[in-house]
Amino acid sequence: MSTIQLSRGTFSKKFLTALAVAFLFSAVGSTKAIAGVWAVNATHGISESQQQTIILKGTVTDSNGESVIGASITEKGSPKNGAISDIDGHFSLKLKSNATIIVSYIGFQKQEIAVDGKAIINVVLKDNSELLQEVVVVGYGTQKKVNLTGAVSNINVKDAIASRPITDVAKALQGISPGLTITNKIGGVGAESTIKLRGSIGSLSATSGTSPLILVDNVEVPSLNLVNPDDIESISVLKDAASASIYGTRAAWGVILITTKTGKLNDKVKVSYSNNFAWNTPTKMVRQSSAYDNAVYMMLSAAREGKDFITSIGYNVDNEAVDRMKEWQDKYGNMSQSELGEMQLGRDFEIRGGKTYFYRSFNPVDEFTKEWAPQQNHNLSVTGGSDKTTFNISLGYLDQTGVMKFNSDEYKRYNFNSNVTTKIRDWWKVRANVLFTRSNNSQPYKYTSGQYDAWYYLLRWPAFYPYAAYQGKDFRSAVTDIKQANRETYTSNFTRVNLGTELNPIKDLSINFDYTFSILVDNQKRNGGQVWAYDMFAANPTTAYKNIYGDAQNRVTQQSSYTMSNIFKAYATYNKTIAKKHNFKAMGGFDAETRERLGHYSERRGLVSLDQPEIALAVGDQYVDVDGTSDAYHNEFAAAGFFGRLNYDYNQKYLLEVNARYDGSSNFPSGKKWALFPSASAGWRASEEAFMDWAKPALSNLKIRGSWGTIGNQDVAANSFLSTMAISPSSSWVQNDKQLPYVGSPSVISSSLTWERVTTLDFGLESRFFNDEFGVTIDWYRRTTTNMHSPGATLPSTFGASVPKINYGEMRGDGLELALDYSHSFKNGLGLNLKGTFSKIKEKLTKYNNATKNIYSNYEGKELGEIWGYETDRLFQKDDFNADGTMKAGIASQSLFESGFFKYGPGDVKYKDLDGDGKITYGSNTLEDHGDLKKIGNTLPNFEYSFSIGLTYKGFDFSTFFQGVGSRDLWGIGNVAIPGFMPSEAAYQHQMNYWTEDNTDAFYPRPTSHSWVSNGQNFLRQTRYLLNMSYLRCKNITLGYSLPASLLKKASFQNARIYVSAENLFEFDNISIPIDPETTEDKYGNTQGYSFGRSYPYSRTISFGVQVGF
Amino acid sequence: MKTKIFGLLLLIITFGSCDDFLTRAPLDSIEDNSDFWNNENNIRNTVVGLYDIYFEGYRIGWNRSDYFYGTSVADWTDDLAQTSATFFTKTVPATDATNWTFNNVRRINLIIDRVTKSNLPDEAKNHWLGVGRFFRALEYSRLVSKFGDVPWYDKVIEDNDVKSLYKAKDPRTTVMDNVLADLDFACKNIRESDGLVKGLSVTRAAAMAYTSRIMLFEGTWQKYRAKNTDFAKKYLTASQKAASDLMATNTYSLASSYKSLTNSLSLASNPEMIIYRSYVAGVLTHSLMSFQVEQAEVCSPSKDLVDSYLSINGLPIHQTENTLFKGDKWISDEVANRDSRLADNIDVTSLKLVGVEALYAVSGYMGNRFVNESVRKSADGLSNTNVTDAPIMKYNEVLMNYIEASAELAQLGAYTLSQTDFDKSFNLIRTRAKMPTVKLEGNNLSVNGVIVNDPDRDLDVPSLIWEIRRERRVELVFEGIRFNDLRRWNKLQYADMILNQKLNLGAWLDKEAFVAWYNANNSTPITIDKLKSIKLDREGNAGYIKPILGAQYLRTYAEKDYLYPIPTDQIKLYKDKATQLNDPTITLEPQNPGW
Repeated sequence: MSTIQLSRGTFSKKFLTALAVAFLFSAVGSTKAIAGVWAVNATHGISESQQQTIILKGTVTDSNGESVIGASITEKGSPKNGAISDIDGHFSLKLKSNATIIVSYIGFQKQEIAVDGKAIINVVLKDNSELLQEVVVVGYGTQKKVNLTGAVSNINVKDAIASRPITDVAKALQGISPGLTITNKIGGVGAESTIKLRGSIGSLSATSGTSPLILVDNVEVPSLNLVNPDDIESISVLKDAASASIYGTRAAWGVILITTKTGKLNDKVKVSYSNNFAWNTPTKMVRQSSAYDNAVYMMLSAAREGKDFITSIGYNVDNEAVDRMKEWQDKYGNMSQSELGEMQLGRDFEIRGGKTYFYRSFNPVDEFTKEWAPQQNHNLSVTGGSDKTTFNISLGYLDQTGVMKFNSDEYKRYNFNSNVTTKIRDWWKVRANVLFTRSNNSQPYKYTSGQYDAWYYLLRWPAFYPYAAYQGKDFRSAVTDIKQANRETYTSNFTRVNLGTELNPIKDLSINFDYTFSILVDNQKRNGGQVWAYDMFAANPTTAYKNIYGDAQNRVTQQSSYTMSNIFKAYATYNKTIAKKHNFKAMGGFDAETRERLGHYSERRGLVSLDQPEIALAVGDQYVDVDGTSDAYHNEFAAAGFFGRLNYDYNQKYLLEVNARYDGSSNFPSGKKWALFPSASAGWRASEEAFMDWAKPALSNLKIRGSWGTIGNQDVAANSFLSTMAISPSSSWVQNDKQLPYVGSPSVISSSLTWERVTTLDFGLESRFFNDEFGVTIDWYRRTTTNMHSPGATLPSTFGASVPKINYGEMRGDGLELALDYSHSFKNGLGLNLKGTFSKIKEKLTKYNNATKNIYSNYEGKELGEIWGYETDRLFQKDDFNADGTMKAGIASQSLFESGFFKYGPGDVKYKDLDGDGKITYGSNTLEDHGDLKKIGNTLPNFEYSFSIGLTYKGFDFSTFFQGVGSRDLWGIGNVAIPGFMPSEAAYQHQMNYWTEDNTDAFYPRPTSHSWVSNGQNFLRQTRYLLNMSYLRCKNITLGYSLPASLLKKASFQNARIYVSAENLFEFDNISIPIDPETTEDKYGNTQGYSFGRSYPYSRTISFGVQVGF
Repeated sequence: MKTKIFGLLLLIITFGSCDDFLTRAPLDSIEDNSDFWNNENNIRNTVVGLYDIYFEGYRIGWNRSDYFYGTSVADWTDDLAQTSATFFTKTVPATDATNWTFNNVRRINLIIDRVTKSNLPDEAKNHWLGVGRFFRALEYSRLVSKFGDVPWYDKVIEDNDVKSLYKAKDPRTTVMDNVLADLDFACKNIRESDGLVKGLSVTRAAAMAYTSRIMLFEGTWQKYRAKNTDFAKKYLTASQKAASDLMATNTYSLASSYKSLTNSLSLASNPEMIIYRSYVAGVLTHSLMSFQVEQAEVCSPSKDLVDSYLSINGLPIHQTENTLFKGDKWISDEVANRDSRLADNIDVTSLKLVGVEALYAVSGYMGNRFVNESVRKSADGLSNTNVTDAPIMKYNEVLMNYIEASAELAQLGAYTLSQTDFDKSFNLIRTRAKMPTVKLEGNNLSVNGVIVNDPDRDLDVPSLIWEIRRERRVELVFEGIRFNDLRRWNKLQYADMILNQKLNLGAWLDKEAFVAWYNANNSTPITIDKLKSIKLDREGNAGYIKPILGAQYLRTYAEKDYLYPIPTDQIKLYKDKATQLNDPTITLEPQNPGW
């Protein structure tokens, strides 16, 4: 540390220049794209002081105790008498002893302090980031927040990210900005989040989802996971078309604009280090019921089929087994698994009549997973600047460990980010930026074809499934698989190099050129092998000890892909103010991009040595493609665009912005490659009008703004515009013992197909009250996707192909967003900060060709996400039935849903006969005729909200953040949500409240088999068992303490903070089954989604950390 | 400095105006462009995609084919007694993407269009046009066979070409004239060999063979259903000529073994195969044989089928002069002295009865035409991994087409039958089956001097035609062609279980005698109780096995069953369009008769 401190004093200039040159011209070196635009130039010229009475001295620091360099201290009434704080924040100023000083610095609140004869005044500047002078990063530039006319939300990085044990920026953004919806398909280390802005669907034809474009330093990155949260300086969310359209077609769904930290001119070199140690524990998990309870449940279900036994993979249950499980539970139920030891024939299982019966009860989740999985995170950065050069270098390291007790999964991430900007001439700046991220996700080889993770299997089988060894050998199970598995790793390397320059040929004109090269290389290596176990698929497992997965899994697979892009941007900005009132800002430019993607897959079976799983050391069959997947691909893409923007404001009162972008994309055919997308926005700062003076100071700012814009969506299904022919190696026609290859018929495309257009109309109101302490922002918007690629009008079969898509469909999302904030510093030093957000959106199909209007398909007027189902009346009771089992007269017949053994009886679900026709039906499942079906819910979050409370007092800071979803419904599927979905598999503790003659008031119906159906018999989609996924969750609580400046000085620290933090600490929800409220219906694991509620758990995290600056 | 800047700006503008930059052809998919179609190999690869549609053979995996039973086409005949009847379609379907589909018409027309536009030399171009038109003929003969009148398309229809899309149905004969023109072109221009393996690709011979089949169908349909003699003559002549031309090439001959046609592991060297489908372990396999060796036969040879086999003297079993027939009251008597093809088609060792055998046959007669004993117990013959090759177009059918077309033409006075006609076709098949040859005697056939005159004959049908149809049925049984034969002869009543009592009958079973026989020949004795689930056609313990008792469970036919119904959604679509455009000529109606 001391060496660096030394350097800044003596040879900082040379050091920095050398560093800059090294970066610019070495292969690693590179720069920051636009940071220079808003880097603060702090070298004002201040004239000498006038007549003096005293010499006032002092230090200017920020709320963290960090010295503020370049703050201006002037005498009130004599603006020419002033000083600038130096590198240590010190200043001295000659003035009259009764004077008042004004201390100001960009980004901080201006302060007036009466000198009152004091000789020393130490000033603590208050952060102004929320307030009006705030500068917001927008597309290709910055804009004063007050002058914004588009819907741009600026995220307070410090609050949202800095002190939280966040490993993924996306998770930190959840609930932060109204309109931004972040969901996570599954828990687990390194899992990607899904990001949506203003609506979940957007377009029915967008293939890669309608996620916002993520730009880091003005250039797209493939995933937010690649960004080290610690490197982030600012985040802006461009929500409406008028703000986003400058980025062109891929900005159709909004933009998340991230800038990374840079050094500041004339800043001393600063070294920062922070760490975080965290422990994760599952939020909620389902639990198997005990072996005995499960067996009873099974037998009740079997009885309805007229059976008195259950047979499943390797295990059997009959009435004797039920009794034996009861005995086992009474005798051994209190013993731990280690006391019980190995499986004992006779005690824990037995073989009767050639069938195997298991009695011993396990709790696989508790026995094989850790309660707390550790995680650690370290960040180191060096930043600084001379009068010509600024730089920032940062390193990050993250290590997360999964929850399995052995052979645990592990996620590691390494980040490197550096940028250097240097002034070569007064009019010429050069910058370079290098970003490198490597992540490595390592886990045990997934034997079951990688389809499911271990959680599904741990929770799939009943508690009596044997997890202990017998005679030293294991039974086949998820645990055995993991124990014996080799590893599989998924590695991702992202490198991005940027070189840029800025020219200022004349005053107020800057011209920027940037070239960025980035490459994302993903590698997956899966090391298979063998698993030796008693095969639970055999009638008598203990006689079938073998390598259960056979040759197909005794393999190595390697899959790799890269995405390489070249991006060139050039743009010029010109500012002009005429007569001090008319402010013009013009920006125009050009960008071009090429992107190439290539992927391939190799597999070889027959490992020579299981310990050396390498393709070079395997001797069996080899494969380069897996059926039905497209692991081998090669494609490229190019886009270009001209863009321009004109800002005009009159006295910062009437604001106008006009954008246009002329976009070209290689995704479109010749003649349709280019399209013009205009947008405009305007604002009126009513509070600046003279007639509004009466409202001051209560109303400090009032702005009304509106915007309209349209952006083309180029993310349409691949080759939508090109007639291509599928190639298959197998025609099913064999010659010479091989299938001949064949080429399919050319795809049918409509000759009239063209771009989709996404148009957003947005009205906003921004207001601040009480000296800017309280702010309200409201946005109403309508986003309409027109010309949506959707089926054309039905054609007769004589056409001979499915109807090609045309530009017909239209989808509309209407939304409302509200943000509130309040901050106040009490006289006693207590700082209070409150924030709240609220957003709501509803998406509808307003045009769609579908003559039949089947309620489960897309049709005009459909509200996206709607769930159709029956209204549940109650459970049938005995007196609803006659002695012969037939339903009493007057009760609506449900015979439509009866089949095979299943007839409705006491304890089954009674649906409401909404149309009163005496029977429960679905009509023809169409909008006109849907029988007793009605809309019972919606899978999309209807409204989302969040609030946070922050408190600071004398170095202590406390903050808490709550996020919630007001309404979301889900029809759960699989065994967790549907009791008896597969009655020969596990029944769960939460399902034990089922109907029996002694428990007629139960929540769940009488046990019966639903035979793999999640929408039938007792569990037709209905109101009673619909999952209410609304929640309010405490996302974060943090308590921190910053060491006082006086203490820091002695230890030569600039700042030091320690904190404890908790994520997802608790929540309020109303879900009838024990799953995390953020669970989505994403079909993780398999296409049917049976693993619902049984995939990698979501976590609660507690952590502590240290942040120090030298 | 400023010059530099303007220089750079200029550079940008030049760069930006470059449209080529935005032209990126797909790297890993093929575009439908002329480069592709100028290459014969590419066309071949495109055509190969049609093979498994038109040459299904035994299909793949567990998919049932029209051979033996399991699809409606295979079941809607008089060959199989059934546990539960496969009914004819009862109602007009709302949608029907399986039958009323023009997907392959489009696909084939596209190939024809692209080949026409290609720069291939004439010979190659005509060959591929021939192949394309051959498949179009196959597709349209399917459509016509099912629906009668259908709209004819000989080009790819664009989605905005309302006039063509909604055009009215063309008369059946118009379409079949076009089919005939396609087939004529195919027979003239398709290469004799296309470099692919013989029997596994479309050749000129295949075009001729299919011409004989398709034109025989249409000729007899015109004669018996449409009662249009002129068209009957035209199509029958075409059928006869195509068969005759193919026979004259002397390229194909009958294989020595009849059974080998349907149970060979490889048909590559079989001289009778014009087209067959090859199956290879681990590459492409089927399950047809498994249905005869692994599963009980819930559809099995009917009494009607078994009775149609002649005795080895060449006489029908019930003809008075037939002294060889030993009666049908015991299986070994019944099969004694019969056409060898009976034993090639059913297991004649004993009756396979439900309750007694795990692998039983509902009629007692266990079909086994597709069984290759050498792989009965190995993976090659079990499960869905069967590897026996499937015959698709065989020379014996061409011979049968020839003689039938000739005989039907003779009936119409358009041809004079001669003994030579029989000797070069019918009698070759008889000889292979070790059956006596026939002699043409006026309007009759004789064997060994005895005029054949089947007392069980359908009196509508002249004896000579009856015997030709019998030979066809016996020779080509379980190959999925009987249903269409019945339709074109206007004889769907044979597949009606009430009108044709023998269809719902199996073997004669004397339960007591059977138990006695069984116990004498097996170590674990059974009682008569084991046979209680077998229903007989009369009271008591002896009678013909009668699989279905209740009349309401029997398949009956109606006139409408000759054609499929046009799905209602299509009819409505045309109606709506007619209303919308105020153009009453837009219609798919009339619906096929009776629907």
